[in-house]
Amino acid sequence: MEKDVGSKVQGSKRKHLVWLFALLGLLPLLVFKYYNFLNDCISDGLASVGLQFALPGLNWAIPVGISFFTFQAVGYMLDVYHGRVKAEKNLLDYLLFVSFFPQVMSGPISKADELLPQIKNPHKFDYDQARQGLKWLLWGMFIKLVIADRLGLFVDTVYANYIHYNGLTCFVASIFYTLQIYCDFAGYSLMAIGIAATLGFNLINNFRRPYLAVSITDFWRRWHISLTRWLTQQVYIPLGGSRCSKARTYWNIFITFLVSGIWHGANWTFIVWGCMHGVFQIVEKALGWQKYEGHNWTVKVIRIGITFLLVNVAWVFFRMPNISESIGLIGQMFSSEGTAGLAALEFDKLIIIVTGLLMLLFKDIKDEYLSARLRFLSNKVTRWCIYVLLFSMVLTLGVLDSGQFIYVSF
Amino acid sequence: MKIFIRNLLLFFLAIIAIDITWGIVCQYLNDHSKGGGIRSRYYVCKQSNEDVLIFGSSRAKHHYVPEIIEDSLGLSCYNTGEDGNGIILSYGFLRMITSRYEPKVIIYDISDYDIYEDDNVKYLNYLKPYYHETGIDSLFWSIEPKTRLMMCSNLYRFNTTCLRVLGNYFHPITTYPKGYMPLYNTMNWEPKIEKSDIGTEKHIDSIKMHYFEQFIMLAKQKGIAVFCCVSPKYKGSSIPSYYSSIMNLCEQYKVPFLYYCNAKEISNNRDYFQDPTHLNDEGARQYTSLMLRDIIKLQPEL
Repeated sequence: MEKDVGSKVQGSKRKHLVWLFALLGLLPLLVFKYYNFLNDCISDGLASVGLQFALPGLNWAIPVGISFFTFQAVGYMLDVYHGRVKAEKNLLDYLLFVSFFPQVMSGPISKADELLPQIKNPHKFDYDQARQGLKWLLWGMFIKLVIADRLGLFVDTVYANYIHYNGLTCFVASIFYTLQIYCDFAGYSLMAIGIAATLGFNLINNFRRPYLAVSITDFWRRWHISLTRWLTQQVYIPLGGSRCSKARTYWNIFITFLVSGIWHGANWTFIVWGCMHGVFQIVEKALGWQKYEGHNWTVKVIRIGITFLLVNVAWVFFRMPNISESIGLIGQMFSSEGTAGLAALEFDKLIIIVTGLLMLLFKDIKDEYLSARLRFLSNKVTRWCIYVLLFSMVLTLGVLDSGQFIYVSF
Repeated sequence: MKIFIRNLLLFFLAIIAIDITWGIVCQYLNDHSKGGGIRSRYYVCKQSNEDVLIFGSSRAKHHYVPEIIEDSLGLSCYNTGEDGNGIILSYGFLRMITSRYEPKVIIYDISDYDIYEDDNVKYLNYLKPYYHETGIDSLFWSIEPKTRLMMCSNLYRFNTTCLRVLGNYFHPITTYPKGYMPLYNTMNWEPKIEKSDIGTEKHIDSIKMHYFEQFIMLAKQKGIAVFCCVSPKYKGSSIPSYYSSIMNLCEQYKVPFLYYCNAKEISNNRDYFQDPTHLNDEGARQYTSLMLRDIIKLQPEL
């Protein structure tokens, strides 16, 4: 009896300690990313009731990838607390785990039981792994530099002055942003995974053809997989997951995606984006639309199209600087005002974009549905031609300026 | 490991072979293009011989009508303005032009591209095929030292433009006579004042200021009369404070600075605009005549 009470007290102490350390781990993230946002919200709230109060704003450079390595470190601590991994005794190994260079800027967010054993074990050169790594690196470079950055030039032009553009152009720009963010982030992830593989490390695959998802729930099984996994393990399941009442499950989904929105940045636009995804999934769950396992291609294509459009609308909020601009852009898509049209997209740039997107579509469809059927692609000569062609396209058609990755700012 | 290194070497040898071949083909197509922007830029850099040259961004390209200038001044005229560009490209053009001949008059249309801090590397794009020309390579190095290495690759040298080079050679599109590209739409909507223009801190780009000064110095050294103009914007404002750096340079080198951004005759009339920052053909003709009247007043010998 005394032993039980003692272990309960000790358990409660451990729980408090882990919360304290989790908070400490999250503190730099909260200060760097959310201080100004909270300060503005509080001062705006007070101003609305006639009170003038504002703390001085911070104008510090935010460490690159802070959201990613913070989540990796906090995730490790929670894994140790829940007994999922043993505590790492070697400080250097732990530091390498948190700051593993290919993934430090934008993930993927690795789990300790995946990466730490690889850090501890000696590596021998593996030809197949290194070759596969270079293939991922090349494809990542291609979709980032040839597709994402090319789309980005058009998106930036239209979004910066959307009131000058007609509805169709604004809609096309929004579709382009949806494709841009996929190619940008998946491109980075592939490059990180590819570099790690060349060095003999296996990282989690962060993307699995997200725009072929048949529902928003399915989308989140394919988009930023390492973050979804982190949020599921550290937020959704501790809240009760789906092993509770319907209403409670819906609440848990909503809170998980609210956290996802907040994680992405200190702006109401990210919160709205997260809430939209939460609400979409609640509706799907309520209607039983999360999965489609049938073989009717018409239904499948319609579901893929609807999911894509819903994700597209949510990305508008993700991309614009504030809510009113987001609503303004969506409104402009249905407006007859604006004289500038698709001519802003020059013909040669359009050819590059269309070629790049067709190649991406072909690869995604092949990987999703046809991998066993297209055996000619594994022919050595064909493979070499593809490698040389992709690299040449990166140099000739890629945007090789000092552009950044979108997710580096998160 | 040996096979891996051998395959990597083979891969890069194939890339080098493609790079060399592609460079030779693209340079030939660039120098022999039959229309479009590639042809216009080749003309400006290697063949132009006009007395009056217009420089600047899209606002220069769409706002200055060479025919009117030729009729008024009795001098030949060409518009070298390029969309989304400014002083860096213009300076490169002027270096190549003045190595062949000295024009008599330069009209430079100042736009925001000449003032604000941004990624200057993008302004070098149209100069890449002319990298080997005297003075152009050093322009690249001063803006982005890494280009010294990057420009070794011909694939990079014709990066992005290769499709246009091919298109302008095999299926040339219209080359606008004398470089002026008229716009024919009319702004049928009342633009809102953009929030981004209100109270935003403008950072002056020291590199652009440096090349603006170099541009004026080079022109003056060659005895060319330079006029700096700011063409009309729809409901344009009076001279903003961030123009002071450019105005100081104009004053220092005794270059007339003509500000038409809020010229009442034009800037309050929506019929003259295609969008808030671009005049349509009708507006451009009005503006060119207005600007010429002032230039002739300032320099009657023209």
